[in-house]
Amino acid sequence: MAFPRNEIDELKQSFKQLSAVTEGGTEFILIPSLMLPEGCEPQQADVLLCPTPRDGYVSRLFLSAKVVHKGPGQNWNASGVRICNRAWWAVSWNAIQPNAQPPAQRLAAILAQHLEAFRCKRN
Amino acid sequence: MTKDTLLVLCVDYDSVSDHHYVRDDSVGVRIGSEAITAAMSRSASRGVGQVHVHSHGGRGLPHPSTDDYRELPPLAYSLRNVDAKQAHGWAILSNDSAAPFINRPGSGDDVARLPVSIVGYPTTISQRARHDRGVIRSFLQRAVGQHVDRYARQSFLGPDSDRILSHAEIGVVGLGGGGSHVTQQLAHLGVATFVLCDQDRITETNLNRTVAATGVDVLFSRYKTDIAKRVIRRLNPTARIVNHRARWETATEELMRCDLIVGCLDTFAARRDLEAFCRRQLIPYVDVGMDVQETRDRYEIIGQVILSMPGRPCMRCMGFLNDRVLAEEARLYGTAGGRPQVVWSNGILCSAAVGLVVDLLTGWSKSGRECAYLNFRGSDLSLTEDPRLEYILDNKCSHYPLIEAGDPMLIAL
Repeated sequence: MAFPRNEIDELKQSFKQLSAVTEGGTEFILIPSLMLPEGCEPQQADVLLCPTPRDGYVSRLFLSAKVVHKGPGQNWNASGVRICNRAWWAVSWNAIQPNAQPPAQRLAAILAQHLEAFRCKRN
Repeated sequence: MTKDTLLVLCVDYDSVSDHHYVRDDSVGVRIGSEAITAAMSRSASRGVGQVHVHSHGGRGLPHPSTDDYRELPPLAYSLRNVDAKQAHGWAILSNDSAAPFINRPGSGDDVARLPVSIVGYPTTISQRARHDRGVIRSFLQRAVGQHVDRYARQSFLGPDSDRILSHAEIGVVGLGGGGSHVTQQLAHLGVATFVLCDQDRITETNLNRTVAATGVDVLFSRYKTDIAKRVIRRLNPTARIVNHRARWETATEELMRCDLIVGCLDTFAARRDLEAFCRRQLIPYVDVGMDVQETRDRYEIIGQVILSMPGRPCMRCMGFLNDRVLAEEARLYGTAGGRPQVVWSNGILCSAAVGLVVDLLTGWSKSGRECAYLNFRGSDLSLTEDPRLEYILDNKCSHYPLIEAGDPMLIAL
């Protein structure tokens, strides 16, 4: 796997069970039962992080279910897509810009920015 | 393959040395104890499963002899005693088929005979339960007047071609301008088992190219799969059809059973996902697509027919799919509207696709073709092989290595 060890270690501080899986030459990180931001229903979902470009996005976060939430990411433009023998859902969300510099491109930062799509902003 | 399916990838071959055979008056020669000891030693030292194979020659499904049934299961049990975590077994080969008896790793199950499909040129379709229904179907076919004479003019496809085509299970994903041609032709050829997937209903704008669709279908807003099913049924009332009026992603259990899948999809992303599914299930995939592009002073119809075989170059290897086209397609998402389509170019492309399917199943042309990338150009009605193909033809696919077939391998980080 091509993921930097230090970035994996950083991610593992929050998520103990990380797995890597490959399909079609693309490497994904699978995080089971990730706790989604408050207000999401269901509250937990397996997520598949694709830290490399896919579907025109610099990175993508796929969820194992279409969660109901009040965050800004309401455009579900991947519904039930088949990746690694499972159905996945994803919202249209540009987590990082193509020209982003470290540490914004670290795996933990990419994941955190994707989860912002589901976080309800309180005024 | 389902979660309960055992996938055994045979990656190496060790021959039995001549001096490990011993003379046996009843069968000529048989492998001796030294060969069995050597095999057990291999499993112990390498931690691998082993399948003992020998050939009976000939064609078709080979049948083990009484000697095979007596001698070979104990050999498999000996190997299992060395390493029960691996799949062990034995198989009888013919020149174009096999009868494997494999023990499920970690279980005390007896060695069981498995159905087998040989993915390659030609593809040998699996022997399944539907064979057993052949007598009933034959009776029904005669009852409705579907005689063997129907296929007399295509007998050049091979003496066994009727049986091969009638037993093949073909998935067709997308039943619009492309898929309607494909299903119609396959039904004419004698294919009798289909998995049809499309979520769309027919509309007025589809009638310029969807074969056999009518104004009445539009009036009743019929599903495209229903129209394709009707076409097949009128040719073959006994055909077995899974009519899936939804996205293919929700019909994976049915598609897993297919011997071959033809995709007539609209987007690059959809093609990528369906090819990935087929690769994981070790199913040959034929992709058909067309588009109309506007040049400076005129229009040009372009299209492609691709044969993507497990282990062989994929659509990324061929350069048909890449990050640039996928990103561009995503950027234009929702803005393109209905793409131009015409019936004759779909017909040419789909006829070529059906030709690939029939050749792969019957091997009639002896082309040995396990990989194809044909480009269509509408202005001169040409269908030519993509020039990139000859440079990658012998390459193994790096995007979908065979070792990644089956359930995904999760690597703990």
